[in-house]
Formats: sequence, C-alpha cells, structure tokens
Amino acid sequence: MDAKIAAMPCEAKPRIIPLEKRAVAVARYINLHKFTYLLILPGLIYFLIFHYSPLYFLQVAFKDYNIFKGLSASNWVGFKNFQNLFSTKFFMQAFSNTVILSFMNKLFGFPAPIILALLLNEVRLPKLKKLVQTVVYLPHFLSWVIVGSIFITMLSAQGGLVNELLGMIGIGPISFMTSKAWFRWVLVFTEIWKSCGWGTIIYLASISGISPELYEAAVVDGAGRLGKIWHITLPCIIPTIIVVFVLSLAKVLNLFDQVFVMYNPLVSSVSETIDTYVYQIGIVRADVAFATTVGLFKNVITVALILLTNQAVKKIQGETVI
Amino acid sequence: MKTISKRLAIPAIVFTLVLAACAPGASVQSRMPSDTPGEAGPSTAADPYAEPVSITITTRGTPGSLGVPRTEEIHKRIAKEKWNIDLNYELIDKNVYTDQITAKFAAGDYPNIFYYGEAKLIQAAIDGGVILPVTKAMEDPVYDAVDRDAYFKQWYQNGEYYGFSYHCSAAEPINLRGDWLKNLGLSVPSNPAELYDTLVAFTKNDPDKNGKDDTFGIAIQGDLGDAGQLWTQFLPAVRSSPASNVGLYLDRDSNSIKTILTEADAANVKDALAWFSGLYKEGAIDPEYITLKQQDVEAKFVSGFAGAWDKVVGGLPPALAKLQASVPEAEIIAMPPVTNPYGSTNYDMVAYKTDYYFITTSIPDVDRGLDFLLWRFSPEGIYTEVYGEEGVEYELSNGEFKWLDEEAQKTSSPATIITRFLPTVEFLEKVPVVEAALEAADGYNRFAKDVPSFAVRSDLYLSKSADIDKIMLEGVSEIIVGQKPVDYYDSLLAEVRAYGVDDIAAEVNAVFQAASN
Amino acid sequence: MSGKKLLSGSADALIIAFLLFISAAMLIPLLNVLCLSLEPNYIAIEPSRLHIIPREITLKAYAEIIKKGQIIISFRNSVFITVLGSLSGTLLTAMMSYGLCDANVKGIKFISYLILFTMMFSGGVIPMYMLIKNLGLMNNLMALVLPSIMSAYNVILMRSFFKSLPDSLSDSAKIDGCNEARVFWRIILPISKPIIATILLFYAVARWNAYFDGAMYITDRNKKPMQVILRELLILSDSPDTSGDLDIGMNVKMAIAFVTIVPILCVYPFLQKYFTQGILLGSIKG
Repeated sequence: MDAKIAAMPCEAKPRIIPLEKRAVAVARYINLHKFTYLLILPGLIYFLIFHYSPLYFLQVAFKDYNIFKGLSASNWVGFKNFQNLFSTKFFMQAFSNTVILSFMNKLFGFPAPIILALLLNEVRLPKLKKLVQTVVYLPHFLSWVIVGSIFITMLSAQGGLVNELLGMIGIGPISFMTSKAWFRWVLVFTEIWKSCGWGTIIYLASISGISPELYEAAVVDGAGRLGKIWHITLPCIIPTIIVVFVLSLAKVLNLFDQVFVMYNPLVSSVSETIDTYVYQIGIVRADVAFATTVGLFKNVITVALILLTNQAVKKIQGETVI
Repeated sequence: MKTISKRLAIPAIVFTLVLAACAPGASVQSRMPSDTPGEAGPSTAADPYAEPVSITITTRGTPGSLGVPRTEEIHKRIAKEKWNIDLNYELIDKNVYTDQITAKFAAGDYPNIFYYGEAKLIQAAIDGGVILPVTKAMEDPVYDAVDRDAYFKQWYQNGEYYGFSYHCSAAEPINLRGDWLKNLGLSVPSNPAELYDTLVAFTKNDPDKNGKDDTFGIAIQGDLGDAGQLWTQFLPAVRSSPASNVGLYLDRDSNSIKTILTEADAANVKDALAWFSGLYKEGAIDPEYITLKQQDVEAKFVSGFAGAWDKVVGGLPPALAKLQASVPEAEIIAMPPVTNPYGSTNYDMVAYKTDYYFITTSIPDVDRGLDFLLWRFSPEGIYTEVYGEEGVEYELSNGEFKWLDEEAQKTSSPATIITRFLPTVEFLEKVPVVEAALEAADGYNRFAKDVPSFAVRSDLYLSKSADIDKIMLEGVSEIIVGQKPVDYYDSLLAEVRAYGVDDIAAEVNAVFQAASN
Repeated sequence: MSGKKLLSGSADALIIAFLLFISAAMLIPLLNVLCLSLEPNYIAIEPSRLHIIPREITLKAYAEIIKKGQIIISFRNSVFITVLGSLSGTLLTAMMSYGLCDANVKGIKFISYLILFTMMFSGGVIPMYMLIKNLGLMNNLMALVLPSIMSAYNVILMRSFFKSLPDSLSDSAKIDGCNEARVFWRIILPISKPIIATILLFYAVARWNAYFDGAMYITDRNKKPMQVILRELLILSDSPDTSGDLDIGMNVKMAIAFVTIVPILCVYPFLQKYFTQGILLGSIKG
C-alpha cells in the first residue's frame, strides 16, 4: 500500500492523515480555544449529570413498568402506552384546548410585558418607576390557588366586583366563570395579569443596555417620543424579544395550575388541558409509565415547535436563536 | 502562568464545593436494618425482646399531625418499654407522598411499615412478595367482635390478609342549622320532600333574622364530590353521585357490584336530578355552587350563609366553634337517615376511605411490628392519639373529663374514635354535637369494601372511567343548573352506556368476587 | 417647541395614569391577602366578598407562624440555599453563556442544542431520586442546590445578551493587550450588570420558592427549607390516621402567602439599580 502511494506523483497522493497527526491537530485546536472550552466545562458536566443521565428512564414510556421487577426487567410494549393515551375520548379535546389557550396566551400575553416595559421606561420620575415596578412584580409570587379564588370571587355573577362595576354602566350580570364563551378569555386575561409584571424584567434589562448616544442621534434627526421608541428602543430589544419568545415555546403545552384552580364542569369542554385531563386519569391510574408517556409526547411536540421556530427566526434576524 | 491560575481559580473553587458536597450525608433511607432478622430464637425465650430493633412507620402527615402534639413521643416510649422497639415515624408531606413512595420502591428502599392507598402498586408488591402477610394481627381475638368479612377482606388473598386495616370512614350525616329550624318553627326533615321544603325555607324566609336576603339552603362542591348523602336519598350507595366511579355500587342483597347507569335505574336518577335542579332553580342550592371547592363549601356554612352541610361528624366540633364565634346561639343538628327505593339508607355509604398499613420485607421483626400496631389501634393507643396521656394532657376523675393542656385540646380530633374498628371504644370527653349526630344517624352502616379499589384492578375500568365520569359530570351539572331539562338524562345515559358500562361493571364484579374468596 | 412639550406632558400624564391604574389592579389581590392575614379567622373565612380593609385586626395568624417549630432554622436554611445557589448559579451561567457565544469553535453549536434539549426533556421523579441517592446527597442541603444550580433557559438568555454586545468592545481590549480571560472578567462582566442582576434575581426567586425538592429529599427537620415548613402549617391534620379536619384557618394561610413574598420585596430594590440605562456609555470610544 505504502509503496503504491510512494510511487504516485505528489499532487495525486491521497491525503491520508495518520492518527497521531490528527490527535495532535485536535489537541492544538483545543489548546487554542482552551479558554472557551474551560468556560463551558463545569456547566456541561452539570447538565450531563443532572439532566442527561436521568433520561434513561424515559424508556418507561415504552414499557409495562413494574416497579418491583425494575426498569430493565419490565416488558417492552412499544407504543401501547401512547395508544392508550390517544384512544381516550377526550384527548383530542384536551389537546386542542391546550393549543387554543396557548395561542391566545401568546397572542395577547406575549406583547403585554413588552408594552409595559416600554411604558415603564418612559417614566421620568425614578421613585414612581421603582414603585410601579415593584408592585407589578408581586402577582407573580402569589400562587394560583390564592389568586384563582380571588378572581372567582371578583368575577362572580352574584355580587362580584366586576359585575357590580358593569352594573353601574348598565350591563347585566355576566356569569364569566360558567360561560363557555367567556371562560377562555377569563383564563387569558388573568394569566396576563399575573405574569406580565414579572415579564418586564428581562425587557427592562435589555432596554437599559441601549446606548444613550443612539437616542441623542435620533433627537438630532428630529424624532419625537414615539419615534424614539419605534426606531431605537424596539429594534434594539428585538433580539431579546425573539429569544424570550422561542424559549417560551418550551412551556407552551404546560397549562395546569391556573386551569385546575379555576375551571369547573360547566366550562371544562373549553378549558380542559392535557395536564388537567391527565391528572384526572392519573387519579385512577396512578401510573408512572403513563405520566412519562404524556410527558414524552408533549416534549417531542415542543422540540419540533422550537426547532421550526428557530429556523424561521433565521429568516428574520439572520441567525438562529440557538 | 499567573493568568492561567487565575482563570482556573474560580472553576476550581466551584469544583471543590461540589466535591465537598458529595460527601455522604446521613441518610434515613440507608438505614436498612442489618439487625438480627426477626426470629426470637428459643435460647432467648426468657426475654424475646432482648435485642432492640429499629422500626420506621412511614405515613402521610406533618409533625404533630398524628394526634395531640405528644402522640409521637408517647408512642416511641411505649414501643421501647414494651417491645424494645426503637420506633421512628417518618412523616412525609402529602403533596409529595405518592412520589416518595414510588421513588422509594423503585430505588429498592422499602419502608418498614407504610400507609398507601394506590391499589395497583400494592397489588404488584404483593405479587412480588415484597409485602408480608398480617394475618396474625387481623385474626387476633381482639377483633372477634368485628365482622372481618365486611371490614378486613379488601386485601385478603390466597388465604392471607395483607393489609392492616385500621381506619374507615365515619358517619357523614346531613347537618342542619338547628337554630334556623327553631327560628322558622320547623322540625327536622325526615325525607327528601321535607328536606326540599326546609332548604327552600332557609333560602326565602330569612332564618337568621337579620333582615337581609343573604341565606340559602345548602352549598355543595362543583364536582359533586361531597353531596353523596343527598344523592343516596334516591340511589343506592354510589360513591358520591352517578357522575363518579361509573356509578358502581355494592348491592348487598346479591353481594355483587353493579352500576346505577342502566335504563332500569333511570327513573330514580331522574328523581334525584329533578330534586337537585328544582332546588337550584329556587336558589336553595348556592347559585355559585359550580365554582366551589371543598373549603369554600365549609366557609359558606360556618359563615352563616348556608343552612345545611353534608359533612363527616369529625368536622362538626371545629365548625360549630367557628359558627359560635360569630353566632353564639348556633346549633348543628343531624338529619336522620332516609330509606331509598333500593332498601338501603342514604347513610349506608361504602366506606371509601378505608386505610391500611402495609408491612414490607424490610422490617427487622414483623411480630413486634404487629404487636405495636395492635396496641396502637387498641383503645389505649387510640386514647394517646386523641387525648394524650392521663395526668399530662387530661385528667379523669369520677368519669369527669378535664383538659389540662390547651394545645392538646385544640388539636384533639375525637371523631377518630369512631373511625377505628373497635366499636367498644368510648369517648372520654363528651362531645355533644358529635354524639347527637351519631344518634341521629342511627341505622348508619359502615362498609369497608371499597368498590373503587377493586375497580382499579380492572383494565376496562382503568381505561374508561375517567372519560365516563367526565361526560356524566358535565351532563349532570348542566341539568342541575337548568341549562338542560331533566329528560336530557336519557340521551346522556345512552351516550355513556355506549362505552360499555355493563362490561365494566361485570369485570369489576369479577375482581370483587375473586377477591372475596 | 412648546407644542412638543405640551404633547409630551399629556402623554406623560396618560402614561402615569395608566401605570397607576395597572398598579392598583395588581395591588388588589395583594391587599386582599394582607387583609385576610390580619383578620380573625371567623371573619377571614367569609366568602363572596373581597376583603380589602380589615374589620378587625389581630396578629394571631402571624403568631401561629412564628410559633411553628423550626421556622427560624428553616429560614436560615432557605437563605443559605438561595444565596449559595443563586451566586454560584449565576457565575456558572455567565461562564457557560459567554463560552457558548463563540459559535465558530467546533462543538459549541452542538453543545448549545444539547443545553436546549434539557429544557424540554426530563426523566421524572424516580431517576432523579435515584441519582441523588447514588451521589450520597440524600438529606443533604446540597441536594437542594446542586441539581438545580443552572437553568438552560437562563443560559440561553444570557448568551443572547453577550452576543448582542458589540465586538468592538472585546476587539479594542485585545488590541490593548488583554487576553481572553481578562476580557471576560474585566470588560464583559462589568458591562453586563443588567443581565447579571436579572439572572441572579431569577435564580434567587426560583431557589427561594422551591418546595418539591425540599419535601422530597430532606428528612431531617432541621434541614428543611422554609417553604416546606410553612406548607406544613397548611395541612395541620391530614394524617390518614386521624379523622376530622383541623384546618389551620384562612387567615394563617394568607399570612403564609404574605410571608413568602416579603423577602423578595426586600431583595429586589437592591438589584434594581442595575437596571438603569446607559452603562455602555463611552466604553467603545478610546
């Protein structure tokens, strides 16, 4: 073999790089970028140990898990667990409710913290700004158990605050909590109320990184207040908005606490989500495999969604989020 | 060199932290008994308890929730004195209890003695030989006065008892505001029609005499989870309503499990539906009921808005105390049982809260463990949990009971006494409202055969019950609030029966029959 | 000129009015919670109305909390976990995020996707329990710090911030003779105060509010974090051994909710100054 190669003219010689040379090249490469690799090393170890090593357990979704036989000895059942899940009558309803509610949440709830952050940024009085900021964060810290029952009281058709106010302007009592037409809006609106304040933090941080020189230049160019927001602030925080949006897709199918606390049998057909439905089944089944199956199903969809969006984002800002 | 060491410094510190943290910590879990296995050999016949053993009882709860504050301490002392057991209670928060038990079993850390309610895991454990029989305790003469067949047999398989039964549900009467009855000059109702009129009167005739129209008859949970005794005025002992557990019930005459969701029973179900929807229309059922959860229902009663409350007797003393804080002359009276068209009374509920302790192979000495449990649920043991120790928490002279410790008095739960299986246990302290309720509920009958726990061993039930219950609950709710007429039940029934309700009942019954023999 | 001022004046007023309205709306439930925590229980449980102004004030609910055994110790535990967890987490996250910025280095893009996937897939309770047991962290406070020390969400978020910093920043520093490490520690980090404060806040809040891991992995009463101890109060008597309901009272439940918010309220103002504008001022020039 070597003799044959030795006999070839120089240009035609195949580029076989012996192993040692390759190893040396790799080592040199690592050494060149050792700072980068060192930076990520601790975090990488953390993720591998605590996030990747438990993933072996996901195979339980494909098994008839018997806790006493252990995972490896339990029987393989392929997609049977998934079939069980999809063959329940209400799975499609739960899935579609989840998608619809998430869509509404994104459509109305995603812009809310951005707008609020922009407004907060316009406030000139630092004390007022601080006060409002602190107040709007607070609902995020109360659990849905508490907040939900407060809203149920406020929205009650029997003397709840909202209906009293509506009564003052002549609108008859609306039973928000039991009306299939209104209930989804109740969920969306209360979700915005609870989380938009906390959501402003990341945007405010982003806004604070905008160089004041850009604003000065804009003023010189004749921009008014609105112009400054539209031409300077917004474009500068678009990368943040995009990242937050894509990341929020990871949780898009998780809707439990709020719905569970606030829904009731009269509105369950429009608000039963995957998680609340699985919870009801789970009360009967108490099945580790079943819970993992549902989780896996949701995760796969979420991954697909994020990857797709990631590619779409490339078209907008030229690079992907990841 | 300097720059490299600086760069490495912080990651190195973090790493050291991690390594330091990985030093093994004291782990309760790893306390697998390496003591002598539980054989008291003949050579130690003189003192079979010479060797101390360490036993842990794992149960749901929080410190102090076992009874009065010192209950745990007293138990530990007695266990040590009598059987040389180093007793430990492992109390796990209820929100993570199921996860803990599942994780422990998956990891091979079997608890010595534990409480658990999920039938599937227990069955797998029994099949796997992980759970030890407790026949010796359940057949102990002290339980001879108890109908073992009725109360202990849920986990009776292959000739052995596997679950130590210790708790079943107490009487759950329909409770009424006695003072309101007095104010309106009404007597205690004794059938559904009279109850109907009473509840309407509570709504319309200002029974608390405060000049405001702010009262109503009764509040119930939106998911109908607590209205059992109202439904069973018309139906046999279903769990809480036709919208739960596929309407399964134990028919005592034939000793078989049947379902209420049949055409034959439709007339009775519709009677019940008419009763409920009529009340709702009159405003006698809280118009907000559909959004109410359990604590909301209680709040409505103890704040004086609702005149009736379907509640287990154990909840009466604290409720009465809360009521009397704002209305000193408040009274609670229990309605007597109502006989339904099926020949049983509305208080003949399946004892769906039967609780068991299970013992696993990890226990160092099963006999001593059983001895302790037997003591724990004997009158003596029960008193330590309900009252404490004589001379410390209370004193008893000439039959007169007096509390010595305020904390114990606050946390004492006297109704516990009637949920144990020894019916001869007497109240030490007289609790009038509980005793009156028990008396009114005369004819109250307890079943310990828990239909749902047989049901979960049926695959058909597992795969369909959630959906069936959901359809029923939505439909029944729509009927009650008046969105649909009572006759809508016919199409509701047809829809649900198409799921194979009869097959489910047959399969569950088969499980039940097999388990009873 | 005056026309513009007038416009901005009324716009200002509108904005302020709107923000005040929003604040009031956000405050109502909090006031409700506070009010309920100050009322005696028989008033607190009155349903169907909003309690904003207490009819009668009593501190009994808070007394119940303070009386609770281990409350001070659990507070210390929570503080320890929160401080250690958030500081080390922020540091590790900053390091990793900055490292992941260099998409051209081989393997970095792959690792970025690796991190992203951890956000979405999880093995569940059982494997985590076994992992913690095998690491010997059972009943050890570090079990509440290490497994959750970093969050993929925060890593990706921080990375996008680092990416948005102009290259001229590090370039000009390198021209001045700084090596990479120096650039990171001396230039990039100080400029990134807003995002660091944000991530620190996110980690701190997550650690402070964590409940499940404290309840699952800690058995020693003296090592339990505050959330677990507080939640015990909510279920005074839920042992399957006893019957009847010994409910702690609505006012205590609300007091607990309020108490868990207060530390955040205290911490946040300190971090707030990092969210001010213009830190980038003049750093590129010269």
